[in-house]
Amino acid sequence: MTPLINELSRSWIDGAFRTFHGTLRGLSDPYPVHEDPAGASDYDVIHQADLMQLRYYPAQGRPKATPVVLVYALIKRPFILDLMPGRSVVESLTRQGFEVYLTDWVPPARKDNWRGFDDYVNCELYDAIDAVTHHAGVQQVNMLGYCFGGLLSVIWTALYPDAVKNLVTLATPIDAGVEGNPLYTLAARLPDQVLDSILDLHGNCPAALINGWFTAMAPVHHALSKYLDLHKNKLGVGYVEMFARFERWMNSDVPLAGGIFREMVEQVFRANRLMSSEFRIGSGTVDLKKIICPLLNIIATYDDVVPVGASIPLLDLTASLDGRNLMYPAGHIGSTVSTSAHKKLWPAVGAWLAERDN
Amino acid sequence: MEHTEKSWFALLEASTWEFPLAVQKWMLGGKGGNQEVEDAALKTFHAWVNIANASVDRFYQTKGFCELMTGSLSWLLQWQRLGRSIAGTMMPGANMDMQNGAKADEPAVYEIVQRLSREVRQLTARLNMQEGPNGFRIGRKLEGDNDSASR
Repeated sequence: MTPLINELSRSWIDGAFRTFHGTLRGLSDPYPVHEDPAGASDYDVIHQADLMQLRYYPAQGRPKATPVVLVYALIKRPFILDLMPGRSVVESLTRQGFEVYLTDWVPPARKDNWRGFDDYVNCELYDAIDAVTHHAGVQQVNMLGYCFGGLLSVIWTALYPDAVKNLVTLATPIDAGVEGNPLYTLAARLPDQVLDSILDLHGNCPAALINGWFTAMAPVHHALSKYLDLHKNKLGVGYVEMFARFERWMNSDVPLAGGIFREMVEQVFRANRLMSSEFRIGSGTVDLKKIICPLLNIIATYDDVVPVGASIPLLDLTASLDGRNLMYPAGHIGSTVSTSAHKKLWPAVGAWLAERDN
Repeated sequence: MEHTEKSWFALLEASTWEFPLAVQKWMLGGKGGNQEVEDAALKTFHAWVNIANASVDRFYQTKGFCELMTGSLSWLLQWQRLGRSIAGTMMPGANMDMQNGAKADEPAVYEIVQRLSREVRQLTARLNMQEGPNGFRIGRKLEGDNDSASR
């Protein structure tokens, strides 16, 4: 019993230090992206812009006709998608013959506080997709968006439907009015005075606030349970290394640009405008009925960050004639890093894309 | 509710029966005593975790939760603002804002540059959205920046 207590205490103290270091990184300007751990796959940076570096991962073997653009979220660093061999979405897709491009968002500095959806979608993502079509010599791309990246992908596809051959969304929040996540309610009820204070003081939404928000979704797990799980599974092959990398990612929060943070609170959480095609971007609005390409909407059924009900409406809001919801029994992160997801889910995603490749 | 009742039962069973029994066995030198104590402790803990998670979820659903969180956030921000004011007064030359990219000696020029940069980006976004009927420049030839979709 005493060795167990000693081991748990040590793990908990290590976790506290990781959180502390993560907080310091989140406060740094610029954010030290060079401190990210190396992923499972080699890449080249083929395009650099104000807020993004676009990574290129070559396909293994003969490449498919249409490359995949992985649109990652604006929250935390993207190495979760290439965590380690056997638990890498990038590796899975390149093994299945897809050229993969990954949006490595550059964390915003205070001077970037004005940037909103218009800038991220109509400038950064636009230029990135343009670079992909030029680099790959194609006219269309497959877009695969994860979480907030799914939201960006959906908006981009609705604005530029002819450039997207197939759209895959994973754990993508569309309906922010769904029950099942009280923290969505908290974001919706955030008073203007508090919102203005945050942005006035910090410019952007601080990384520590985002980390606190995510931690609050499962506080007992983050404070205690995961260390018990580590103790129980420490003899499993690769578990300890996976745990360490995963924890590193959990503490890789970055600031969220002030403009997009305000728009998320006002347009998504308060007014739920994507559901009513009233989401404003730049001088126009986003009409999800403009999405006509094949759509695979992957929903993690144990997701406590994006509840099932938040993702399900997407299919019906589009005009896709070849769409389906794929319910997968995993959590928000498990769907990208669990061994079972890489045995079942990602081969299925690759097969779905391959069927629609020509 | 049924799930919570099961968790309470499991917690009571593990903490009042299984754990004390395992401890007694261990103290009397029984075979596998230490492992049994550990297993019973873990079972108690898991039952407690289930109850704690359910309690947290119920707390999040209460009316007061939002008020408490927004109030706490507001309070925290006020203290941060006060702290920065004090630090700024005591150390006028120091840059306390780790995310402030402004150069201290050229604030006006910096602001103008930032505003122009923002306007250029917004105009670029407008142009991108209005690029054509499909709104996207595709099929550029590799030799030149020809916008015709010729592939």
